[in-house]
Amino acid sequence: MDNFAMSGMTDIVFLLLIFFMLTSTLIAPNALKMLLPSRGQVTIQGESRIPTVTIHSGSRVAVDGRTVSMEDLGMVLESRLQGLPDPTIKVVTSPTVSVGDAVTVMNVAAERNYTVVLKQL
Amino acid sequence: MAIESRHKTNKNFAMSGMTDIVFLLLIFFMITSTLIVPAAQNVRLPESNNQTQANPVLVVSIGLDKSIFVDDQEYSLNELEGVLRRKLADYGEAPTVRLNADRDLNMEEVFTFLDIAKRNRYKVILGTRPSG
Repeated sequence: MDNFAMSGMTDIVFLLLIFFMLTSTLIAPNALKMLLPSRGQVTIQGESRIPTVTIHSGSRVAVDGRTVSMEDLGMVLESRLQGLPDPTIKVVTSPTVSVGDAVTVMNVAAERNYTVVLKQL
Repeated sequence: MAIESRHKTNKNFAMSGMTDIVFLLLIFFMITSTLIVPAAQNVRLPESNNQTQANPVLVVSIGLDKSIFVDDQEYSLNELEGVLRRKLADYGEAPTVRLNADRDLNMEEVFTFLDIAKRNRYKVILGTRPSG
């Protein structure tokens, strides 16, 4: 047989091409948005209602000055922010806190679609 | 009298040229899809499953030894703002920068970068890797 049958291979290659084209556009990088308090931004509805999560060195976490464990943080924030239209928390970190600890807190907020504003102590 | 068209089409469909192009595209997309996750410079990223659609125009990596890399090139902290300004000048109002910070790095170092970003109105996303 002197005719090389290419059509089958071409089908498979086309399929692979479409697969890789789709996956390369669908990939979203794993990342967290970092928002910083800006000077010009006026906070609506009184800043006092926004809970402040303070992270101290040694992974100690406090909500508005009251120490909570990392496991309870989500629950505490949920009860504080229930029913608010645009739930926002302020995360204040002391300089010696590790990035990993800050990300753990930001994860808790990201899972619940809260906006996180970062500040340094 | 038989009427015959002078324009005869070749009945054999020549597929090989198209197959070449498709192969080339396939290889291109295979390579780009593997390159899309940038390998961080000796930075162990914190874990998070949150994904953002924001498309960063460059990557700033800060290692545990406080070494600062902008797109694979090392710079000192003093140079950083100038380098970022030069590289991001063409990207319009508020370009997005991806920060790959080591998970054991202190937030102090992160904030020195965030201060620069705030002064120049860059959007910052913090690079993480999927957990588990």
